Amino acid sequence: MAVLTPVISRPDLYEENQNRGLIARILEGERKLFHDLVRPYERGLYLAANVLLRNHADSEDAVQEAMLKAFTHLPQLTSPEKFKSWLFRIVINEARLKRRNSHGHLFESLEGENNQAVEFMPRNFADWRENPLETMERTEIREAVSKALEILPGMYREIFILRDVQELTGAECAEILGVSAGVLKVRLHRARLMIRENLAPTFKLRWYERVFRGKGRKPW
Amino acid sequence: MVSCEDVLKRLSDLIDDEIDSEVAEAIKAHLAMCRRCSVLYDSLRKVVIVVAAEHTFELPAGYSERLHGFIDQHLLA
Repeated sequence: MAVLTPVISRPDLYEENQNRGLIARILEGERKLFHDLVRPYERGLYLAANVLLRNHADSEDAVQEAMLKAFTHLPQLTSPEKFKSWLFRIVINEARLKRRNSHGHLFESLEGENNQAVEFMPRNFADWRENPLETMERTEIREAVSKALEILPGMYREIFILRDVQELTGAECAEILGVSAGVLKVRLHRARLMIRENLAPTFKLRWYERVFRGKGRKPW
Repeated sequence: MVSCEDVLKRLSDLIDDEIDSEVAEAIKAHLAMCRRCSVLYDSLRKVVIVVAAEHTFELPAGYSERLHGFIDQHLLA
């Protein structure tokens, strides 16, 4: 019996090939193409820096520093197909360095270390009913997510941003953060559980508010 | 029979589809019967959907222009 090989779409392979081509041309002298090489990642790079630094100006500085390093060290990049994770690693390192120098993270990092061994147990089991994207205003969601992220220890914030916001693969995240696939999975799961718990008070109420508001009735 | 504790540990694997089909089936069977775990699974999935939405995180105005201006000025000049 003939075995049919499924045709699998691999946008990541397309991206890798694209980057390999761009890097080769940049190294041959078409330096302006550096703009095109980094443009797809500029949003993610900013968010990755900002999740650690929580300050617009510092985050932009970190991305600019990372650009400088990436451009200078581009000739030494041995695997051009890994450009994306290499670039994210540089920006994360820059952000960590800035954070270390600012001292503002000291309490937070202790909290993160202490929580390492403790299994996170959800407490809020209220039903969210609907997709918040359909029932809440963008600004409300933005504010709630940003607050929910804020109280997470840094190591959970960075994995969450890379994997769930930037949608990098598990392998890419593990490489960027320098952790094993197992550690990455555990951290990501804890990060999601903590974010969910932090968002629950805001998101679970929306259904009641929508149904009962304006009808002169209260849900209790 | 899987316990709530086992299910709790594997919910992200289920969301990311990084789980053996046999285990996935066992977890789904548990979810169909356990309200707490199914609420947890549903809301956790919604967290992932919400944060992946393009507009959930805002960038400062003019960020892209400043970044490319920096590249032109410091890297390509």
